[in-house]
Amino acid sequence: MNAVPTLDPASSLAWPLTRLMWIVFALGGAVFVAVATFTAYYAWRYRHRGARGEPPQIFGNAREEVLWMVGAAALLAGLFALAWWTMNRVDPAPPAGRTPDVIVTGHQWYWEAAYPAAGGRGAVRVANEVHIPAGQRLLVELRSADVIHDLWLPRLGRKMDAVPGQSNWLWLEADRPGRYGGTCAEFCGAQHAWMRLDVVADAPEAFGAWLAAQARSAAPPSVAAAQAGAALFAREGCGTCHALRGVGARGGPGPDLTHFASRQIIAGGVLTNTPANLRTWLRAPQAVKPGTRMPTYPLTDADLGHLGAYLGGLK
Amino acid sequence: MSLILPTSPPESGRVARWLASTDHKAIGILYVLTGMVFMLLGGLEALAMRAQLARPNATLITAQTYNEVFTLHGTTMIFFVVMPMLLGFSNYLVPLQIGARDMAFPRLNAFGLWLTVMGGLLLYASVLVGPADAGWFSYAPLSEKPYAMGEGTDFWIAALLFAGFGTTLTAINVIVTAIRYRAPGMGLWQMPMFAWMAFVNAFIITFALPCLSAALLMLEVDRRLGGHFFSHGGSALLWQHYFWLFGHPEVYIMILPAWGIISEVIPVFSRKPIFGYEFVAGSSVAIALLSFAVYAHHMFVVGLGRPVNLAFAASTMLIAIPTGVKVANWVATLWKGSIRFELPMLYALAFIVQFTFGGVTGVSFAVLPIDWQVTDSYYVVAHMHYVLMGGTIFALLSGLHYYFPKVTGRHLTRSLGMWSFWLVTLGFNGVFLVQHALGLMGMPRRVYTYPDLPGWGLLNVLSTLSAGLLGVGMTMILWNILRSLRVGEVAGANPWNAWTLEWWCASPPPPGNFTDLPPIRSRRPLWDLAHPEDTDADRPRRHDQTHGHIRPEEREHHQ
Amino acid sequence: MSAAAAPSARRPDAYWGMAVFLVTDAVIFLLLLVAHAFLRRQGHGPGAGALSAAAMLPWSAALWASSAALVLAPRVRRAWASAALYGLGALLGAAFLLGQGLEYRHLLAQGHTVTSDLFFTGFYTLTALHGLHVFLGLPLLTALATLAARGRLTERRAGFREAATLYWHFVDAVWVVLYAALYVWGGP
Repeated sequence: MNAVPTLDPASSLAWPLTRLMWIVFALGGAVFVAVATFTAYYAWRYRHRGARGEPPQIFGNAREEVLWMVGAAALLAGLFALAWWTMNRVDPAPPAGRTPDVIVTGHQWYWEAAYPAAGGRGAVRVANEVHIPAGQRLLVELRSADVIHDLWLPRLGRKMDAVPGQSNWLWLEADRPGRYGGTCAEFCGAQHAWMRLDVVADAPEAFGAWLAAQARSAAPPSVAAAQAGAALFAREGCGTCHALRGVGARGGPGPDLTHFASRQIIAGGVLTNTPANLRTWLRAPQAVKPGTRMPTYPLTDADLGHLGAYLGGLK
Repeated sequence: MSLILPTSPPESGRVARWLASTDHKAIGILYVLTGMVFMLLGGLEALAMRAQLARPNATLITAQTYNEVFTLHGTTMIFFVVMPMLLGFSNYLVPLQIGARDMAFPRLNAFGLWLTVMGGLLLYASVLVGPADAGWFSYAPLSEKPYAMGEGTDFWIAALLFAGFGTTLTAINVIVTAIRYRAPGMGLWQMPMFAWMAFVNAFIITFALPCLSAALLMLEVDRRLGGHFFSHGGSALLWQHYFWLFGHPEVYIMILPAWGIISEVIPVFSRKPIFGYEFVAGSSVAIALLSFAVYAHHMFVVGLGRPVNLAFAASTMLIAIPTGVKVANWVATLWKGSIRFELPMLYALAFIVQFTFGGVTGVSFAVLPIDWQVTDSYYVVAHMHYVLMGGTIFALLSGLHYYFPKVTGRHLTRSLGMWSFWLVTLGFNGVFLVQHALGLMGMPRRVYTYPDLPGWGLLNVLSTLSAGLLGVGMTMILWNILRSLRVGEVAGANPWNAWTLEWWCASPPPPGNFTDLPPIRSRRPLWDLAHPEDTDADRPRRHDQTHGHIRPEEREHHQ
Repeated sequence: MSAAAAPSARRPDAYWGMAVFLVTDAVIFLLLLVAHAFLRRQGHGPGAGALSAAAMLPWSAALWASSAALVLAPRVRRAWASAALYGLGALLGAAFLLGQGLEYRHLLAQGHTVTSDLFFTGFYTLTALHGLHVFLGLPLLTALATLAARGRLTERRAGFREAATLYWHFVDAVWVVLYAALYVWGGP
């Protein structure tokens, strides 16, 4: 079942869903098999064998019809009860006044997560990877920066739309530490396919350490190449789109790069975060992810090396 | 509407006569031909998508192109393939089945057809300026400025307005024709199954299409005049409410006439009347009403709140009952019949199996939390193609093989038909069965490519190879049609020994359809003529406990 | 064709065809109206406060009076009187359109455009769609007047007459609702 995340739940919010799916698949499968079997059996059993004349002209039977309807209604009523019960298990209403632990925002085309608890709203902003403490149920507020997106983490439970102009709520929990893949499920434009994300569940103390590290501003570069990269970053105006705390880059529509090197995927999952991939990305983002908001800059090989050194140092 | 226009036939060639015709049969055929031409385009678009998705990280076509192609594919298949074909069948058959000479408004009928054609041409004219790329559902704000700056979206809106208007005119025609032009002796409740479903369908169209028109008008006001309906202060979800208020009834618009075809074919090739006419007909009315009451099940993940979600889950469960009633009655019609495995029947049997499969996965969405997990994934793609292709398209193919002799006077070639039936059936199931699994594996829909996750590449390449098979099968059907027009076996007025009025007149029917009508005393006038000793009209009206209308001496009569 | 009853006993087909068409039209207006009522709560401008119900009333009355003219037209004896009533209906419809144009000019001069506020997005969409319906109705009424003047509005054209009349009554009825919803009702 490893390849089928929806049937391999890793969260107390997803287990009831998977169980429900198995129940419904079994019942639905039984109904389908019954219909298909009857169809095939009757078609074969009553096939024309050359007899003359017409078969008995049977017009129907009201009592049988009512029985079918009652049977179907009973089955569906049972399913409805199951559905309701499961909904309350996997999507309980948030308590009144509860503030979100994480604010996840969909952008064309990456996911951003902000941790309001860590030093004020939006102080810690990360992209493409959402860290959570394992075994704790977090309340996620879902927002959209542009069009409708949808956060889908198959192993962790239900999906939910991010709709511009409204906030949606979602519970997020992972039973055990690990990486859980997810994606945007609502068509959102050119690069909808590369709007993937990873939820990283850490052991609680590790999560605390991670959050503390993320809350710090970017360390000033120490090696010469990285210093050249930082200068280039400022000169090319990367800060107009990308926030980078510690150098005064306020950012805009692009992902926050303050601790860029601490992430394993970049650009909505289209590449893993290696020096070679970063170079590829910076050289020609439009070739890697056509339509991305990141423009192509005329950077020399030396520039790419410097930028790579700088960004690669932002642990 | 007898306004001031003269109605003399144009003094010109055959083609021009066809194009200028107001005869319901010519219009019906032109509708179906329109559907076929666009099906070729929509099919090629589907193959292009499957080719791109055959391998992970493929770069056969760009992201932008892929999004344009799937938008065109969805729009084409729904508005310019399935609907024209079904309307073509409705146009051709309704007057014939109820013993009328033509539709109530022949000129309006032609106008509706050409509006639809115009819509299709507009949609494909948009290829010149860059077609729409926000999907056939065109969710705001993605379909709004600044996210869709090109004029493709405006073309798309215009295309749908034209086609929707044409469809509405046809629906008006069907309603008035069915109410006013039935042959003497035929009550509404005596109409043949297809005419009945087309009639009910016309009412769904009447109420659903304007919802789309309203939404499109608002979107165009936003786009061209800078309005604020769906973004810039308006509500993105308003679009979804209005779109699905049309969109879900639309699903039933696309299946009701298909059910009608199936309900004609199965009885004739089982040599029995349809089991439970009243229930099959009545369930259509229930579905027509409920189809509007279930629309927000397309919006289970937009955050509507628990009570709303539950209400729509309940109504969706409810609509499964009348749908199930139909399936049960088709299967019961086979029971104790004398089954002929002719091509229309094979497609109808495949329809029952595939449509039921699609129905079962459909119910799984109504179990709301499951929808929360699998909506917007390939599981939905698989489900909707099982009901729309495994259902509607198979029903249309069944109807095509069934009515081809009536329309042209010739049979389709059986051997070639058998080959194409198996290719199409295998191909179709090969393409879409694996997509259920892909959805459960986490593959979202509407992606131009996907990462190389375990199993994804394998299932996708299976799907793509099957699509090739399906394409070959469809091409063979087309070849069969073209070939049989010239060399098909001559059919005669009633080649299948069917019982409804369309088989009373010659094949193809003459202008005006009928020179005379048989006495109509029951739902099967031609059966009554052929079996004067055992007419339907003389059977007890009531469904008694011995399977209604059945005579004691027949109970022993097993074949 | 099936046996037809005496023409006076049953409405012509065209009447029913038009009736079904108007159902679809009513759905469009209803949905636009619901959207407008729902969205105007989020508007920021003066909304309905910028409209003057009194100023629009005479023009509206002209439109409603045209319906009365159409009710009378087939009931009068003389052909010229009938034609005059149809012509009057068309003129009153044209007068309403003039009033609508003046209203637009007045509002635009005040800076209330489609883009200025949620209320006006809905207002212009609804009134322009309705105005289009009035505009399309004018040639129908003119045709009726012409036919009546030549004495050619006979039973054979009952379908056209009844369908066009029904259409015009519908358009007027829609304006009753729009006038109430936009000019009279203060909003949610």
